[in-house]
Amino acid sequence: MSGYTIVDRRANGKGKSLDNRQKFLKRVRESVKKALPDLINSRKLKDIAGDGGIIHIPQKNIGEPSFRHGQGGIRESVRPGNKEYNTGDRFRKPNGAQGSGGGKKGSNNPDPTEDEFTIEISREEFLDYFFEELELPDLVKTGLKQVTTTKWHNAGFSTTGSPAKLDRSRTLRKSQSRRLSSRAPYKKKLAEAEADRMALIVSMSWTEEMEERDQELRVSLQAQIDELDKVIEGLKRKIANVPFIDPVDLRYHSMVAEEIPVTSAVMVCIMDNSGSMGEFEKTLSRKFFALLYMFLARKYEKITLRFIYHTTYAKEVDEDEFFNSRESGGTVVSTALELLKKMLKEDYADGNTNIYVCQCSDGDNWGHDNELCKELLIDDILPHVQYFAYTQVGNDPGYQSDLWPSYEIVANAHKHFQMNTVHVDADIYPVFKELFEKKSK
Amino acid sequence: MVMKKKKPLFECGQDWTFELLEKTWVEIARIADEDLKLDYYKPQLEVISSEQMLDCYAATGLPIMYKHWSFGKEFLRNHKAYKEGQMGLAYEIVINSDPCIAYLMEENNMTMQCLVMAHASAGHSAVFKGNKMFKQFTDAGAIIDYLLFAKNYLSMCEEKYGEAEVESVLDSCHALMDYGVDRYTRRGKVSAAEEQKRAIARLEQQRIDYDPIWDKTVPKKDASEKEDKWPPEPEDNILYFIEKYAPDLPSWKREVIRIIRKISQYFYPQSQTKVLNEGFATFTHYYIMDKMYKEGLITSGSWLEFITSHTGVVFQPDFDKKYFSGMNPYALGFAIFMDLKRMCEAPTDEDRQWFPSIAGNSDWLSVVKDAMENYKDDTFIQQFMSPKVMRDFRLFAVKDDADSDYVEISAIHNDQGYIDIRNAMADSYNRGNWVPDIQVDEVHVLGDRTLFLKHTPYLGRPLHDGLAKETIAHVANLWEFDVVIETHDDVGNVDIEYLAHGPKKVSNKPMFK
Repeated sequence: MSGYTIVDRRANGKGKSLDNRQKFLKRVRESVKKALPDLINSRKLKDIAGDGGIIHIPQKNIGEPSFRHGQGGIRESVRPGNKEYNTGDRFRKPNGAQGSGGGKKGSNNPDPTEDEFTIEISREEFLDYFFEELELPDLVKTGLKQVTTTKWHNAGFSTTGSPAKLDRSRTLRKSQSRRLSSRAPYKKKLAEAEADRMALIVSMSWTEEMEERDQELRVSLQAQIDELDKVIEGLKRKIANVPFIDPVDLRYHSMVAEEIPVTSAVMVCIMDNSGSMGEFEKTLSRKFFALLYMFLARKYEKITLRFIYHTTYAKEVDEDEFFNSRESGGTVVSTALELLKKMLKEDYADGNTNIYVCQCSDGDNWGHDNELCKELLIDDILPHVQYFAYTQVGNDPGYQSDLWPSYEIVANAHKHFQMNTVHVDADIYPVFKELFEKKSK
Repeated sequence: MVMKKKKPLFECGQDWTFELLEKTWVEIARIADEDLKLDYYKPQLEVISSEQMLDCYAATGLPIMYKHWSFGKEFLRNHKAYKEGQMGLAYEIVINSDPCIAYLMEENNMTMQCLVMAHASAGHSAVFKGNKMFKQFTDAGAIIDYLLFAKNYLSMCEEKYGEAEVESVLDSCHALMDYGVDRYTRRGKVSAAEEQKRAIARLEQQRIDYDPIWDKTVPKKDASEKEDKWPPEPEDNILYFIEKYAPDLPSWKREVIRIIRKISQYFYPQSQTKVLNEGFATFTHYYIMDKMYKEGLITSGSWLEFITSHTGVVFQPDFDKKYFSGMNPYALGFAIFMDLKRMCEAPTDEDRQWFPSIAGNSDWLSVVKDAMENYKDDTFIQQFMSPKVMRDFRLFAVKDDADSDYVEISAIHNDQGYIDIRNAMADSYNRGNWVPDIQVDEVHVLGDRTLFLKHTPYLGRPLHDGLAKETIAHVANLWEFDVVIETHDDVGNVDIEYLAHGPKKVSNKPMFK
């Protein structure tokens, strides 16, 4: 059979599957979104926040069903590699397990046995789906302008620079290695040449007793020695000529400019750390704040976070302590609000920063404090913040807390003050969603 | 036989060039033509990169395919597996088309390209052209053009009706791919529409003839005289049935169903001839490479590289090994074909007893080619698997009765067991094993248009519950009215198994105008 064609397709774009991959990811997105509330319930939240790179997508939405046989009936299958079985051997089936029909299908079955399908989504992609419909509300004031300052810091070494930046020891080290390597071949040859010369001298001395007729030998030896002398001379000169310092050796400290943004948004997290908050409530609020933290970290890179926790006194802390502190005590909520007020006055008095506050508490408060809280909110805090979200945690849905009625009054009068309750893990995400649902279109 | 040694075409490990590919193919074709007398489609060898190979994999090898998310999933799965080193990209993807398109990965060296060409463009191509399943069910000359049409049509539908709508139809069609093949020639005759008209006319006539006095005084005939059932014959091509008779489907959806049907039909023979196809292609590449080596066209280094690759491909792990995942079609097919050749050239008494017409046959080539052309996997194994092959693989049969607490070894590779093993092995390649027998039984055309599907269990096996529920929903999605699956067992009991509601409710129009 004659005739054939050979075609080079490599130039044709690859990525014919790009569209298909997009379609698949779109479908996966729905799956991922559906799986989110469950993920929060389990402890996987931390894992995701940590370094979860591989997300398990349950089969439902991306399975490709078709009619197939289930367990039951009679199956006779053939296997290779019999070692010791005989006709009639019987084996008890393990309890509850399928028989041999199970997973090993005939190989002309086009459907592979499908375990749970896993695709790799990067943490970023996952969080993107997660927070897709959420945003900080009323991000109005000055927007999140990218105002930046420049900071210099060390970044290794460079071969150019100003004399003030010269790193002497490094330079000398480089110079030494250059000298070593440049001189090495010559030194080797020099050693050889000198060895040869020595050999000739020795031969020469043996000829001392020679007679006249072997003078030729002496002459030629002498000539060779003279030659070698010249070579040795040349080599020594070459070696001496390798410079001590060469521009190629120079090393300077290198500096790099880094842009540090001046943020124009702040989120203040207030957590009630008192004894009335049991382990359960504390875990709930920690999860809530963890979610908030991930949300902000994902969507608003240039936001500043400040953490306050309080018992009978309030304290500003860093992230670690906020999430991991084991402190306990009584409850005076107003202390936190006082601290917040102080923060607003001292750090953000210019009015150029978008300020958000998120408070978590079980609602218990020292009796007379509630009025004070209400006043602080109405007079000193709410006028200056974009949004204040209060989340009451506690597993009793009917519980009427101390703080709630006072806060309710505030909420009714102020649109940017939102209250919500979280009773169980499953509530966290929906409440979170509600608080931060995109209102803009 | 002493052959005059020729100069090697290329050295072991040498990279390919277009010129080398050409020269090598000429020699491969020569051996295929002269020695093996193969008839195959004209080859079209396409050089691609490994990324493009991944694309191929996902699109089932076809150079053009419509867009669907399941291909994206396949792409990602393969991509991930390839990246993690779990899977070597096959060096052969070849398409049943005329000309026969075969992909050569640019990363292969010349020895591997030679192997791929022999395997795919000579071996597989000959099966595509010569095997009766392929001849019956596919039109190799038309497939690429049809795919182009399909892809464009579907894109246009996406634009016109929205991606979600099209995806929904495609998803449901994919779920019914196995039920979209015309396995038997259709009986021509009265079109079903005509048939339906007649049934309605008959019913009308009965209504006109109805006489209450007659009805209440004359003893009724046996109630087993049912009114005419429609359709009169069960239909196993469910997609075809829906395409033609779904009461309310817009015509673009019918066209989409038709497209999936056609593609499913195209792939049908491939699913039925895995062992035979791979076995023959491997047999071909083995013969050709071996001959090339004997002629001196490839060096012993190349030959060694080839043998290493070949051995890996036909390796069959034992059932208790970690990598066991069923019978390797390459291993089984190759073993049977080689065994046929052996039986012709060096038969034993056992061969003479089992295969009297093959043992000692002077023309092994015609035996091998007859096997390749006229059989499919289950009949191929039934006809040609010899005791020797069974012994070589140390095959044994395991019987698993769901009602019993035990599994039983029902046969091993001894005289008493050969026939049973062969039957069981052949049967495992029978389509009925993994595609449940579900056919269209009836439609209540004057009623609520419910589609009744009949499931006849194979060897007492029930449907997989979860999958059945999901799949019947897809049927209802296409049919648009209610769908019911009834299981008819062998003693005549009928059980309603599954019900799915379609999105539409019946209006009072008759089903056919």
